Amino acid sequence: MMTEIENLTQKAWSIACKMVEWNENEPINDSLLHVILSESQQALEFVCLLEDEFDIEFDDDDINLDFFLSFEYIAGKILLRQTE
Amino acid sequence: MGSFKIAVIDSGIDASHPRLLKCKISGISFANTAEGIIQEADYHDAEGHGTAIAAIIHKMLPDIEIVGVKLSSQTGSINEKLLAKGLEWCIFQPDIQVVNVSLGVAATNPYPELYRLCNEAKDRGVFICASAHNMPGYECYPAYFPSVLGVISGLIKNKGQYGFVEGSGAVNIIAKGTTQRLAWADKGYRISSGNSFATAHFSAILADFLIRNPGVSYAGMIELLKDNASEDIKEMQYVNSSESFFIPCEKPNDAERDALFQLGSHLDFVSKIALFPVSEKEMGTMLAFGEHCPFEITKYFDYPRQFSFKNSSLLERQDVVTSINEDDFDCFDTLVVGYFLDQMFDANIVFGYDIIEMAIRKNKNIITWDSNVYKYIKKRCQTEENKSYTGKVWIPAIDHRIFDKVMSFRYLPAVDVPVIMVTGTSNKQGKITTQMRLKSILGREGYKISHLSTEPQGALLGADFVFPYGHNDTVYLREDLWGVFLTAVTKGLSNVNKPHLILTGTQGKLLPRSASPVEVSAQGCLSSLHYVCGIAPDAVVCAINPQDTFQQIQNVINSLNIFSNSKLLFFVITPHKREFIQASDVKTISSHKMLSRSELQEYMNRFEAEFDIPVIDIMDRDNDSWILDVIEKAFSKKNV
Repeated sequence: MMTEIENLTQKAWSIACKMVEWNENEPINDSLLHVILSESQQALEFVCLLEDEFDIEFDDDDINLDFFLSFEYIAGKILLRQTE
Repeated sequence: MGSFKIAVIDSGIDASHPRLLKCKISGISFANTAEGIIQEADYHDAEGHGTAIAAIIHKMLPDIEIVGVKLSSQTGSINEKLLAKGLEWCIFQPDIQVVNVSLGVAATNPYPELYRLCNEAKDRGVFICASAHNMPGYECYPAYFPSVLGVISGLIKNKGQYGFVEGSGAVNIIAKGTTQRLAWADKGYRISSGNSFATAHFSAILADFLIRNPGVSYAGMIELLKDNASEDIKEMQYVNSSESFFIPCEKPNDAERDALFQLGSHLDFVSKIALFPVSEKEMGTMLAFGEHCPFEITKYFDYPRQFSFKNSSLLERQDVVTSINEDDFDCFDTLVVGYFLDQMFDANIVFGYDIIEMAIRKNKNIITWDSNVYKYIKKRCQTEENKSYTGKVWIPAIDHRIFDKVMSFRYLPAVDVPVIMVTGTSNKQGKITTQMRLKSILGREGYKISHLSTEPQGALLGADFVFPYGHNDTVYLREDLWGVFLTAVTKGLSNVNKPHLILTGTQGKLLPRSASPVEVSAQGCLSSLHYVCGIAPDAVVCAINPQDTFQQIQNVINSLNIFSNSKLLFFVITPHKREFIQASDVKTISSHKMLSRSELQEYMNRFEAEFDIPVIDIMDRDNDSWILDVIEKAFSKKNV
């Protein structure tokens, strides 16, 4: 049984994979976030996709260095915004 | 908040941006035109940068009024005169107490009027917060003026925190400038990082202090800023180019003279080394030619985040460490650090900082070839927490003191042993690899080779002298002095080491690949020509690429004839062919395709037929005896 965080982490991974055409069936790899961050526009698009998918709005302060370090961190931020 | 205002000298402000709808904004514009500087009322921002700055300040201080001072120019660039005009306007407005200048002019001789205005602002109690240059080491004004608070980006979790840099340096403040989402032009957003945004955060912090401490003097506020600064905030760059790091200038005695050309004697404190980051090109040479390294390599560190993680063969190595554990530092005495500050990902830079911090804490020696990394390490070693550090920090470099000592060899007779140089038609051709292979082949036959390396890692691969020009170079010597200096170096190498042959190589390409003057100056071609003239090699091995045109290769041959009159022994060809892929209408990606053996042979035959000069794969060990034979025959009259 997946926890809420695990579920959100998996969804965030899927969104990232679709965006950069990566195989989402592969194990979650946080390095993909750095591929995304390598282009400002791509990074912004990823954040917007997350906001649309989960019907939330991140605070600008949520989008920081840590945000692009791990999918689990992103999941935590999504959960936080969902429960507000 | 009464009449307190923050001025933002920038690209203007888009007051209709969703992030600024509740912000009280006014503004003005100064435009540089053919008729001179014109003042206008429209301060709308079409670029986005000024809007980002205003939005950061507004988020931190929602009730404060922001005054946009837009600078624009028909030529597209902001000069010091225009900046001075905007600044002058700000400091004579009665309610503006903080001026945010998230821009600057890189110059070594700043505009006197800008200096005068910054001093006047200080006298009037107006604080100017200005960004330092994003590239370390660049003087940038007004941030560099003592009357201005120069700001750089740091690792800060809470945006209300900041660091205060003690001392008389140009940078005073470290604030949040790392990756963040920013309001941008056309009511849009951008994810970016940089000193500009750190400056905006700090301007808001400073304004908050001023509001809460009305009437405080300029000096009193500086004290308040010091007292309330957070400790141990790490910067993402640093600006301190005045530090010198060499032995004192004095006439060398015999032992010192010999040591000049026996680099290993400078590294007697090294026994076992760890490399970071091993995915770097320079470290790759260390791994490939470890047999030339007089020290045992016992640990391999690499970035935790790899951009090209899809095909990095290094990740398959079981012994590469990508996290920091104290125990990993027990198996070596010296950490070798490469160009990690060039990383585009903050996380990898932070990892580099952490490795250095642990190395200092564990009292390890540190060798680096990046002057920026060197300065960072020296700075960290001087902090209170690291005051017990007794390790050595070393960087291969050439400055005027080395110059003075080496020049004592200039009166020796001309070098009477052969000098072979490896050069090439472009960069990334394996020129250092070729040198290491030649060294191995000749060394196996009993020849004593004195290696003069232009690669900084040559210091750890048995080179007798290192002249590290090229990327982030540490040759602090005017190029017009290279000729006499390098002539003296080859004499010194010959006199001290008594080699059978001196081996060296250029950095990067010898000639530009197009007629662009920008490329000529930016890509170090002129440096390489200076190097060729200074070394005056007897023979040359030239690296070529499969995609080279005949004309490009012929141009290099002609240049070698003109500048050194040296004999071209043979070509070495890289098996990597550069290809350009059209990724989109505006973007082209370059990639290197590894040629098959037969494909490479086709290219070799083609070039050999055209130039009537042998073309070989330097990594093919079947060529070793042929290479030895060619070199021996070339210098048979000199009794190699």
